[in-house]
Amino acid sequence: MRINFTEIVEETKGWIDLRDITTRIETVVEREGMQQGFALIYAVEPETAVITLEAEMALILDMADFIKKLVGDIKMEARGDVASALLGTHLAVPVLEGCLDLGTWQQIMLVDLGQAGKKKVLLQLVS
Amino acid sequence: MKMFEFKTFELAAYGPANLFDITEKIRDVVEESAILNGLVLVLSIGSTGAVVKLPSSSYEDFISWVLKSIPYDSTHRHPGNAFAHMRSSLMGCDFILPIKEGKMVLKEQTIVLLENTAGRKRRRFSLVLVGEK
Repeated sequence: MRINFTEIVEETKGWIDLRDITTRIETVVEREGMQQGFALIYAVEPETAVITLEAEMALILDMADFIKKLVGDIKMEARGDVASALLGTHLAVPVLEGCLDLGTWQQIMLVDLGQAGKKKVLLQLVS
Repeated sequence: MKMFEFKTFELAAYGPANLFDITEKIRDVVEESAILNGLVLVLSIGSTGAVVKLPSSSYEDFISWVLKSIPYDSTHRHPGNAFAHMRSSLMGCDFILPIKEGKMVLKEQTIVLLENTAGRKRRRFSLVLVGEK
């Protein structure tokens, strides 16, 4: 069994920024020569979530509106934490024949719900 | 001895808000497996089928919440199925269950697919079992 940790850092715009990190993850899988296992994508920092979503521009806007509505009644300082708890702070994806087993319209998104800046996501490859 | 197993199964599902119990399908995979202690990762392929753990006594209440909170409508920018994505991204398409002594750890609950596609959908699931014999 082999375990590899890679940090993926994204420069974000802050509340609410949805960023497609699928290709960055695929690049690491390829670089590590990983064939079979699973990838755990884990939001290390507070006020960040990891979800699957079709990375389509209009849907990303819809999703941002949805998140705003979900936590609209909550005080501003707590919104990022509550939103990340609702959306989920990790995702696990099977890897088969060197590729992430995902649907055609299923990408992996980092959701930044905090302040703008560099946000870290931990990618753990288990093979 | 540490090992991996990779399985897949499909389900004839239909939405836009229906629950399909996949517990037995997962149980079959786990019990056939040589793995005694470990975990099973289940991912529903495509981003509009959510996977959650729920007792069957709560199915109706769960669906009521879904229909009320994220209704099947087209008042969004994304064509057709924005609501399906919102539900699935919120609830998650992936699920991990521990495997202990050859059985999945699940008490008085079921693992269900919430199918959000309006109409028929052949939903595929990708499973990774990791653990030791």
